[in-house]
Amino acid sequence: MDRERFIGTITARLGRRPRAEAPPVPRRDAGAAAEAPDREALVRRFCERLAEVSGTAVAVADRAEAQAAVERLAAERGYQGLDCPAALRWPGIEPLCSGDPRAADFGLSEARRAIAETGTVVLWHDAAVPRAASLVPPAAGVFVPASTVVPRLGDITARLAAVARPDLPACITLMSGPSRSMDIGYVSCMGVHGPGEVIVWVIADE
Amino acid sequence: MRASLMVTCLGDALFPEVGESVVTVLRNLGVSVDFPAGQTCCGQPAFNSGYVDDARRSARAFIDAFEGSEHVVSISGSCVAMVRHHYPGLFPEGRDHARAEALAARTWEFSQFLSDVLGVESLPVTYRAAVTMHHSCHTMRMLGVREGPERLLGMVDGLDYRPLARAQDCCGFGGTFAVKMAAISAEMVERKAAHVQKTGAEVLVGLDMSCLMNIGGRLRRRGARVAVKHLAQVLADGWRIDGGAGR
Amino acid sequence: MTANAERERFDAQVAKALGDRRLQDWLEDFQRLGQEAHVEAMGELDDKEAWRDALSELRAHTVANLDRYVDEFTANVEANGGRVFFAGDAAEAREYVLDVARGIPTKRVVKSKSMVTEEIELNGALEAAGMEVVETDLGAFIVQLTGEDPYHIIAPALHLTLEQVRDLFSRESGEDLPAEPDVLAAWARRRLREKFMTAELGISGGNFGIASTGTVVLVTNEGNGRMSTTLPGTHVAVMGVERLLPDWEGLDTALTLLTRAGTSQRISTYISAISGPRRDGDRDGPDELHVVLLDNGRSRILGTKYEPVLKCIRCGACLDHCPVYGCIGGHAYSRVYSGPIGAVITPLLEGLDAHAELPYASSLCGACVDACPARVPLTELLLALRADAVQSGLEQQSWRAGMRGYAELTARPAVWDAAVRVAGALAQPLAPGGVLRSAPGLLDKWTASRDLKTPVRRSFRRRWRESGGRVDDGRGS
Repeated sequence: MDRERFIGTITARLGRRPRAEAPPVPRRDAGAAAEAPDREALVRRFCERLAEVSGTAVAVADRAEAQAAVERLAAERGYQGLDCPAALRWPGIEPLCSGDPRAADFGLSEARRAIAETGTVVLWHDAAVPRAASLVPPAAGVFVPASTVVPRLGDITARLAAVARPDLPACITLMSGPSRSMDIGYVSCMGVHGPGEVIVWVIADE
Repeated sequence: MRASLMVTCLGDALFPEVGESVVTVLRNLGVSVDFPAGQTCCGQPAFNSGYVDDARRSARAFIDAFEGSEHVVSISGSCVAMVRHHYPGLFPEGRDHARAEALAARTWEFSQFLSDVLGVESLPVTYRAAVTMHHSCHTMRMLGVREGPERLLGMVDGLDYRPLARAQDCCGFGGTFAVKMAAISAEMVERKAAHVQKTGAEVLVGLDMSCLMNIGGRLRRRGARVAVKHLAQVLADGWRIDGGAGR
Repeated sequence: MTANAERERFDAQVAKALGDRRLQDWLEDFQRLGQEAHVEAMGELDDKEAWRDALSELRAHTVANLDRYVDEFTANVEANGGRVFFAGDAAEAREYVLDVARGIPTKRVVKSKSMVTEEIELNGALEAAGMEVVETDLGAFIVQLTGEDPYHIIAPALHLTLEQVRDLFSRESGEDLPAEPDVLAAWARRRLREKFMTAELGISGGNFGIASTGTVVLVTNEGNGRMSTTLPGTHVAVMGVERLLPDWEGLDTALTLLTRAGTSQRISTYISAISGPRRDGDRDGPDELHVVLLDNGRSRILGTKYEPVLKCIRCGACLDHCPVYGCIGGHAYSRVYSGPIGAVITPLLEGLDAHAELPYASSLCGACVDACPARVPLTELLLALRADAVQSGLEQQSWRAGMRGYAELTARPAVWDAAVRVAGALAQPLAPGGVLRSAPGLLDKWTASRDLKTPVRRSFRRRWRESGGRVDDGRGS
C-alpha cells in the first residue's frame, strides 16, 4: 500500500483532518531532582546490580590495571584469540588479536556509559565499537570509565534525546550481564546465544 | 442515620438469613433500616453477559426503588460495583444520569459501610471459631475494599483468623461464566476450595453471596466440614446482648 | 475456520488443558511465582502508579496521533538509509518480505521471535518459496520443532517440561542428551550458531519504534535478536503500526515498565536501538534495513470504544495474572495472542463472529487490569465485546429469551415476589435439604461439580412483610 493511503486511512479513522501542529507529548513528572549520588556510590551500585544479573564487575584504579587483568585472564585461560577493535588495543594483547569474532575466545569493547541501577553498559556501535565483539565470542569484556556511570535508564534516554538523528550510530546496545533464557523447563540458563560470561572493568581515574 | 437494605436477587430468594443479619447488625449499631419493596435485581447478570438493554430495564426499576433512600447497604459487593461503575454509563444523559450518579454515591457494600461510613472501631462480638476469608474480586478491585473486612474480624473476641492463601484469586463464579464456561469455572472453584480447606478453618467468611454460593457448593461437594457465612452473620450471631456471652 | 469449528477447537483445547493435571499444577506454580516477582519488581519503582499513568497517557497520545508519528518515523527511517513498507494486511506484508528475500536471494532466514510475524503467517510463506526459516529464540525454536503455536506471548514453550525438551532435542540431534538445561541450551546454541553465520536474511519484530529518530528498538535476553540483526546482510523488522513512541524520553517510560511488569526484570539483557543499516566504516551490521509497518485491522480499531487496546506493549503481565489463562493455557485462545489481551485483540483483528467465545472466557475478575502497566481497560473491553456479540445476534436465542424474560420480571416487583414464592414452593419437594446435587438442563453445568443452593420457602421480602420489618427478632429499633 502506498504511504499516503496507509496514513490517510489512519487519519480518517481518527475522525479528523491531519494535524498541522503536533499536540505536546505528555511527560512523566519526575518529581524533584534527586541529589546526584557521588561517583563511588554509583560505581558500587553498578557493581552490585551487575552481579545480581550474573555479570562480573571489577573496580580498577586505571586503564593499565584493566589491561593487565585482561592479559592475566587470557593467560590463565589459554585464550587463542581475542576480538578487540583497533582503537582499544594495546601492545600486551596485540599478538592475540585475531580480528575475527567467530574464532575469538573473548571479545573486548569500550562502553560509552553505564547505568548503575541496572548494571548496564551502553555500547555505541560506531566504527570503533563493532557489535560482534560483545555478542559472538563466548565471553565478553567491557571497559567503562567510572565518570560515565549514571544513576538510571532515564539519564541515558535523556542524553540520547539530545542527539540529532544523523549523529546516532546504526546501532546502540544496552547490555546487562550475560545472555540468559528461561525457555527450557523454566530453569535459568546462560550463554544461550550471546556471551555466557560478561566482565566489566570500571576504571576509576577516567 | 437511615439505611435501606439492598438484599439482592440471590439474597432474597436463596439467602434471606444474610439480609436478616445485616439488618440486625445495622440496628445494633444504631442505624434505622428499611426495605424498599420495589427492589428486585440490579441487572448485573444481564450486563455482564452483554445484554445491555435488558440490564438497563432492571437498572431503571432499581433506581426507582431506592429513590428515597439516604444510604443503601448491600449484602453483596458485586451488586454495589454494578451500581457504582456501570449505572451512570447505562444512562449517559439527563435526569436518569443524575439519578444513577446519585444512587452510586450513596450505595455501599456492608463491610465498607461499617468501616467508612459508620467508622466502626470496636464491636461487642464474640465468635469462637477458626475463620478464613475470601476476598471477592469486584469488592476488592472495583470497590477498593481490601483491609477493612479483616480489621472488622480483628475486633471479634475469640475469633481465630486463618489467612487464606491466594485470597485474591477469583473463585470462578463470574455470573453466567459459571455456566457458560462451566469446566473452567469448576477448576477455579476447586483450587479455591482446596485453599480454604488447607487453612483448617471451620468457617469461610465472605462479602458476596454469589462467591460464597459458588465456593460453598464446591466445599459441600468435596464433603468439607466448613460452614459458609457472610460477615454480617458472624457479627450478628456473635453479638453480645445485655452482657451475654455471644457465640 | 467457521464459528462452530472455532468453538469446537476452543472447547477441545480447554478440555485438554483441564484434563492435564501436571499442566494445571505447573500453570498454578508459574503464575504464583510470576506474580510474586512482578510485585517485587514493580515495587522497586518510587511511585509505580505514577509510572503507569505516564505510560498510559503516553501510549494513548501516540495512538491518538498515530498518523503523525507514522509519518515522522518513516521519514527518519528513510533518512537513516532504511526502507519502510506499508502493509495494509497480512498478505501484503508477506508479499513484501518474500520479494525482499527473493531479491537477495535467500536460502536461509534466521528469525528473532515476533508475534506479529506469527499473526501474518510469514514462516509458511517463506518455506513455500523454498527457503529455510530458523526460529532462533529458544522458546520459538522449540515450538517450531514441535509444530505448535506459541503458548504465551513471552514464553512460547511454557507448556513443555524439561524432559519433553530433552526428548525433542535428542530426537533432533540424534544424540542422547541429558535432562539438564545448560547442556540442552548448549546444544541449541551450537545448532543455531551455524544458521546465524550463514543466513542471508534476518527477520525480527520491533518492540518499539521511536518516531523522532526512526529507531527500531528490540528487547531481548538471549542474544539471538542481536545475532539476527547483525550478521545477515539484510534485516527486516516487522511491527504493528501502533507500536510507536514519540521520542527517547517515552522509551524510558516504556522500557522501565515493560520488563518489570512482564518478566519481573529491572531491564532485559539486551536492548538494541537500531537506526538504519550499517554506516560506512562500521565493521558489522546489515547493509539493508527494511521496516514493515503492519495495519491488518489495527486502523479499524481507531476511533472506536476499543481504541485503548492499542496502548498494549505486549509485556505479558495479563497472562501471568489471569486465573482463566492459568487453567486453560495458551493454545485455547487461538493461534497467536493468548490471555486477556488475546481475548480482546483476536476478535477485533479477525472478527467477533469468528471468535465469539473468547470474550466470554473470563470471569471479569480484573486481575489483568490491576497488572497492566499501560492501564488497558481489559474488563471494560471484554464487556463491550460481549455487548457487541449480543447486538450482532451471535448469542443463542435461548439466552436472549431468558435474559429478556428475567429483565421483565425484575421490572415488576409484584410478579417477582410471586415468582420467588413459586420457586421456593417448588424447591421444597425437589431439594428437601435446600441443596440439589444434580439438576436438569443448563443447571447441570453447575451441579456437575458443585452442590446447588435452591430457593427457600420464605424469601427475605416475605419475612420482612410478615414480621412488619422485625427480621432481627425485634432487638433493634
